Amino acid sequence: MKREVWILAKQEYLSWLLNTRNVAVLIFVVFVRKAVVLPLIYMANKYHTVLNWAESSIAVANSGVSVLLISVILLTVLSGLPRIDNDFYNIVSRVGMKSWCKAQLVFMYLAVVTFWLFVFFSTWVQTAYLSYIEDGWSLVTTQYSGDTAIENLLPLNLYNQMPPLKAFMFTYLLMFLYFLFTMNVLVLGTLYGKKNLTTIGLVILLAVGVAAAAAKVKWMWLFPVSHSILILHCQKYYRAQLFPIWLSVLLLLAFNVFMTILIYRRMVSVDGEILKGN
Amino acid sequence: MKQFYKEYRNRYEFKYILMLSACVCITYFVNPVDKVNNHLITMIDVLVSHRDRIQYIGWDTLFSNFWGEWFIFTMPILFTVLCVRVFAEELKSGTYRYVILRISEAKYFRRIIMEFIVTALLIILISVLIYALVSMIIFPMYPNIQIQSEDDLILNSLLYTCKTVPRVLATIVFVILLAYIFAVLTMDKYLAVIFPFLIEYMVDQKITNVFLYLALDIAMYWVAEYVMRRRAEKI
Repeated sequence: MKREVWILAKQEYLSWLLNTRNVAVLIFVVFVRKAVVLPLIYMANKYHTVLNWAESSIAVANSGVSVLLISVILLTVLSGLPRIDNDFYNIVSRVGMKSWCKAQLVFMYLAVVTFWLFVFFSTWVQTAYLSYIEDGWSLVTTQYSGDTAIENLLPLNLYNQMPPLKAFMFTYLLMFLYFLFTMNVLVLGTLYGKKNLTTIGLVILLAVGVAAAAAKVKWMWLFPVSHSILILHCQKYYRAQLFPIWLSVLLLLAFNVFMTILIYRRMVSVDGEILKGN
Repeated sequence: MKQFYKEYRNRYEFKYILMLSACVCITYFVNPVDKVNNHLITMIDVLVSHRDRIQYIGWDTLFSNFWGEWFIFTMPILFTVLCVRVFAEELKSGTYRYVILRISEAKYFRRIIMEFIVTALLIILISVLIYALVSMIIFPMYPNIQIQSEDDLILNSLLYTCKTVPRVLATIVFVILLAYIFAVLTMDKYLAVIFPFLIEYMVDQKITNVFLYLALDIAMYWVAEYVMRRRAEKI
């Protein structure tokens, strides 16, 4: 990669990190504490037992409402992509349009990875003090979850089908791919001068997808958000999956590659005034 | 009054108020309304997966606990985001200076607080109306007489109103004043929305008494007036 691409991406990334808009992630932290972490801690304390290190993080990424909130916050904190300010023409004239595009793509990937890591760490750190590191579900999930909110967070069709490490890896892989999908669509919409319309479309797609997933209707697989929630793929007792996990990974991956190519092609030829108009 | 109405209409678009009211209305639908197999189920659960329970849900259930924990949780954001956006932009662009020169800072302070309160009340009113309309369409139009008599229902609703409304109003005023203070101090719409949300979340864990909230409101009013006066001094 060219040096100027990396420098430009780093500069964009640092200025994004220091943006006050990012305080919106605190809403997510408070929500997760209220809806996921506190019920888990309460049950662990009630039965004098401990949790698995990955349980809280898995529960967050497998709840429809959490995914809805996380995606809305992702759209909020990364809504400035691609970043166009007053020195846009100055930068483009110095480094060239291609380098600027590559820098924006690198910045997008860096920002998505940062947000993704934040989702995991902000949840994990809250239960880390009463967790153990083993590849086995805790008693809170398997024995004491009946008649409580935990049964909805970590249901039978998750802990019956796979160990926590596998569940964690699949959950966060799907989530990462979904984050990329969301950002790719938003950036492509922005490049065509339809940022607001794309944002509204994404939120509607998300809300309808979450509602379809909650109702467990067959057409929920038409929505990308359903592919990003692991528990929807598994059944309670039978090993056969309702929708193959690898196919969801493949679909999201293929779509992301396709979108990235489209974005790059569009970015190289886009008129700066269209971007500024957003 | 007429002047206020004219200015309010110029500054706030009704479509955003409607949008926020719809969001608030969603929080009414996620309150527990029934119990199935020892599990509390929300109105959305009833509509999606327990349609056979619709007949057991009457007016008493629908209108006796709709200001639940999710309403209190999301309130600091939904009730301030619109006003803070307008107010923070005004502070950042510096147009507030010309207004203060024309109508003293005390009047300006009261006008902004009034706008915040009117917006919050409008959101509550519209959201309750939407909720009433939607739930009357979906659920049967009779009280749940299997459980209580009609007199008990009226008494319960009155008790609920007397207990909840002052608390909700005191919380809204508290959040509004906090948002105002942070908007004046930071001139940033994001900080002015998120910090009141965090503070309210922490305060809500500790304070349940409505009189303590009222005391906090008075203290916050004083602080809000002070920070505005200090900002106006710089003009």
